[in-house]
Formats: sequence, structure tokens, C-alpha cells
Amino acid sequence: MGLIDDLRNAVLDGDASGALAIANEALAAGSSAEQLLNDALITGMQAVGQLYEEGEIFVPEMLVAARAMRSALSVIRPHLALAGVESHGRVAIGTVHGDLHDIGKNLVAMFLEGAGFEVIDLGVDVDPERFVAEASEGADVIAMSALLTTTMVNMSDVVDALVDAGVRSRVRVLVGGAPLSADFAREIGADGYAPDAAQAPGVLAELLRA
Amino acid sequence: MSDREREHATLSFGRPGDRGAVEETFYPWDLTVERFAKEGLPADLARRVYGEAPVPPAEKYVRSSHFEGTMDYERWLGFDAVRRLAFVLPLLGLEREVLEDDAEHTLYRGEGGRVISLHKKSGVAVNVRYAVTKPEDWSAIEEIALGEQEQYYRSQDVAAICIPLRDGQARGEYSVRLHVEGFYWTPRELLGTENVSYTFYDNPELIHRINRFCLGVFTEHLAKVLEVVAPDVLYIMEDISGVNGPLISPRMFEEFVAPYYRELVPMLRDFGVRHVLVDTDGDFRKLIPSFIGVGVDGFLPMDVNAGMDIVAVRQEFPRLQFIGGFNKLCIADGKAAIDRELDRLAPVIRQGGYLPGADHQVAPSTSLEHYRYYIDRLREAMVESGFDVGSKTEVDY
Repeated sequence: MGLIDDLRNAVLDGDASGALAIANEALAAGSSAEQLLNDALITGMQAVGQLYEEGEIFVPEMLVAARAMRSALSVIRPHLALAGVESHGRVAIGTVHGDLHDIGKNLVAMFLEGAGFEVIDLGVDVDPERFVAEASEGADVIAMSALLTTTMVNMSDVVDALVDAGVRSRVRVLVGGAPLSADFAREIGADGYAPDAAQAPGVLAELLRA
Repeated sequence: MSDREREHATLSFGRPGDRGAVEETFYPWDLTVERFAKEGLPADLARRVYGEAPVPPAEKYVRSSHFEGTMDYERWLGFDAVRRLAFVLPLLGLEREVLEDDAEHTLYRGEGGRVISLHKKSGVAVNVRYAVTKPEDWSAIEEIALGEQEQYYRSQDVAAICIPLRDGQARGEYSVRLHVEGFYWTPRELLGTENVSYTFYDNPELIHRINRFCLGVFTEHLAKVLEVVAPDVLYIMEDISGVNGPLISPRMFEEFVAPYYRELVPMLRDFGVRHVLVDTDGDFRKLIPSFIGVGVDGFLPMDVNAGMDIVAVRQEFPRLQFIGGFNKLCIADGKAAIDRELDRLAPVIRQGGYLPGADHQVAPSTSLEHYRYYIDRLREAMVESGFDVGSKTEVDY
């Protein structure tokens, strides 16, 4: 478990080059990609999320930890594919039309990647039609972010567009962002609400189990 | 008692004569002004809120004249007279350059160096690239900024802008409220929130280079403003927190932000600035001790929707001054919500040291009728400003 622990600690410490080196070393030593993902990267990011929730770390620490995770994942992912390890689900994520604030969305994307999801990042100012297209093309989750009270209302347009296109039942809709609430999520017909990036993987896992 | 005296007494935990100051936190949201213009705001005032003419070249970095319309708008609504002034860092020296232009988008580099894609149909402007992505970008901007400083901070030009404000302030016509860009704000604006976060780790010296530059501009050129007019309130824009808390830790604050406040705040005091506040946005509770440690007097806007409970914060920090703290969504919701919110804030109003105002710009979902009701009720509530303090305050100038 030595290299597993080292990799998890490299993620926690935000050491991207260290995480990359350890991941390569562990793979060369015969560690399974799936074990590295589950026991080092996912648990490492869970610990990062916990520390954030407890107020022990802040956005910069989360970002460097996620960067370290992505660095290691870049060499682990091809091995996961070779071993036939499937992701926990495919997530199409973006900020809604008119909203340009992307750091929250980026953090959620990183946490979901670190939790074993496949993430398609659509960027900012995403029209409903793009979300519908992703839902039509196999996304399991549509994840939307908004930072403004004037743009969050556009989320209901996306839900309506999914219904009109006949693909609403194929996906779970997850929403988040500073002005949002669980009540708002229910009002617009979303399936779930994540108060912050650290909680997004857990919320999504619950949604997909339901 | 003049509006200026009333503001000072209110913020100083005094007991203003007839009532405490009634002021707005920030200059207004343009979409809100548009709505008000349809609901009874005189067209002339609506047109002048941000100034009718383009910003005069001499005011590129010391901005005053267009805020006169803001003051007239606020006075028409029923607020006390506040004359705003902005000191802007000399980082807008590039020529705006169109990089690509097609039927749907214009890609351009703005005066600050940011590359922006403008969607023609919707008007949405997306950041494509921040001004600084590597240290060499900052070096280039800093070099251009030297020329900007020479051209736009000349003492005679600063005096021409600021003497009228000083004179009006001295006559008691208004208080002067100046804002500047801070030491988290500026690196963040240059690098973007995500990249500034990485830069704290990857290249801390770049952050210090930027902030040493900012401090140098304040020491040399903001001082020219302060030599002419000492603002009654000076607030430092940081936007350092979000709904989930501060964007940096207290440790990072101490390393990257605090050293510069420790130089700036004493300088402001030396020039007679009585009230130094920080515009934090969001939930910044974890940074309150850090900011107190560098000598600031208080905070705005005390964002209710980010969880900033001004009543609780005042209990923990009894001598902090506040501007803001009134849930702007209550103003939009109407009279009953406004009344309930004033009741919630009453204890802090009575304690003094508090200028109630919207916890951010009043949104276009607000009717003029409700906004004027809010201002009328606020005026009534401020009769009790500092009521718990004791005897009335003599204002000392």
C-alpha cells in the first residue's frame, strides 16, 4: 500500500509532478489502474472535499489537489480503458446561457473526474440545445452551474428543452451555484442540487443510485 | 447636521442628531435604472446616472465627474448626498485591438490586456484569455503602466479633479466616498480566479511583484488625491469571498495581502481618512480577524445571501463598522419583507457603527415603488441609529 498512500498524499499536498511520478512508478510496479483510481485518487479527493467542508483548506488548495489528481489520472486513464473499467457515469457540465463564471463549474468537473466520472466540459454560456445534444448522445447527467440570480432562471429553459426533445428521462439533472438552493432545484424540475464542488460527487452518486 | 456629519457620527458609533445616515451601498445597476426610468424616474436623471459624456481623458484613472449624476439620482430617491470617486490603477494602457471579426463574434483585446469574445447577437462577452498568463505578460503591462502614470496622474490634473470635491465636502454638501482596487482583487483581475489560485503556489513572487506595484502606485499617486481631498469613507475592493467562504486562506492572506495593507492603511490615516472599509462580497467570516489585524475599520456589503449575518458578526466583533447588510431581495419582494428585514437589523442600527444599505446592487426585479418605500422606512429606522450608545455625539472635524 506504500505507493497508494504516497499517491493519495501527493494529491492531498497538491504535488502534481509527484503524483505523476508515483502513478507511473506504481503502474510499472504492477499496481492495477482501478486500485490506484479507487484507493488513491478517489479517496484523496474525498479527503480534499472533507477538508474543504471543515474549513481547513480553501479554493487554491482544492485546485492544486485536483490538478495533482488530473496529472496522475492522465497516465492511469489509458490503463483503465485497457482493463475495461467503466466510469461511474458520463456527465456533461456547463454554465447556463448568459453566465460566464466558470470556477465553480471547473471545480465540480475536477471533483467529478476525481470521483470516477467521465466529464464532458461544455464551457460557459451554454445554450439549451447543446445540453440536449449531449443528453441525446449518451450523457447520463446534465450538470448546470450559474452564479447570478439573473442567469439561474435559464436552467429551467434547459430542463424544458430536455423535456421537449424527449430525452429528459434519459438523464439526471444536477444544478449548483451561489444563488441556488434545493428549493430552486425542485421548482425547475432538476433531480439534484450540490451546495458546493466537494459535495457534488456524493450528491450525484445518490442520484444515480435512486 | 450635514449629511457628511451624519455619516461620520453614524459610522463612529456616535448618536447622530436627528437620525443616522441614509445611504446606498454601491452605485446602481444599469438594468435597474432602466426599469425605474419606465416607472417614474425622470429621464434626465436616468441618462446622467453614469454620466452623459464619455469619461474625460484626464479622468482615465481618477474618475469623478460621472459620479455626479449618481449622486443626483440617489438624492432624488431620498438618500443622503454621497459623492463618489474612483482611483483606478494604471493598467489600461493597451490599445483596444480587434483580433478576429465574423458574422457571429468579435474577438478583441481590451485596454487591460484581456482577450474577449463578444457574441454579437446576445451581447454576451466571454473571457478567452486573461491579461497575465505568464510573468512576461506582467512585465509588459508594468512597463506600459509607467507611461500611463506619467501621463494621467499629474498633480495639476489630480488637483483639477479633486479640488471641487474638496470644496463641496468642506461646505457640507456631501460626504466623499472613494474606492480603490485591492491586493487580492488586482492579481485576480489580471490572472483570473483559477490561475491566481495556482500562481499562489507556482509563482508567489509574481503575486508580490503585482502587489508591490499596486502599493507603489498608491504611495506615489493615490497620495496626490489624498493631499487634496481626504475621503470620508475609503473602501478597498477585494471581492475576496464567495457564498462558500473566502477564496484564500488566512495563511495566504497573511503572506500575499496583509503586508500591503500594513503599508497602505497607515498612509491613509496619515492623510486623514477616518473610515477604511473593505468590499469583500460573500462570506468572509474566516478572514475577519486577518483584516482586523491589518487595521481596517469594517466591511461592506455584508452579503446576506452569502450567509453573512450582520447581527451575529456584530455580537462577535462589537467595534466593526458596516455598510450594507440589507437583503436586496427583500426590497424586490415588497413592503412586508422590507419591514421584516428592518426589524432584523434594528439591534445593529441601535448599536451604531452601521450604515444600512442593500447587500449588493439592487436588482432589476425591484420596482421603484418598493425601492422608495424601503428608503422611506430606512429613514424612519435610522432615527434609532446609535440609540444604545448613550448621549448624542459632537462631530469633530
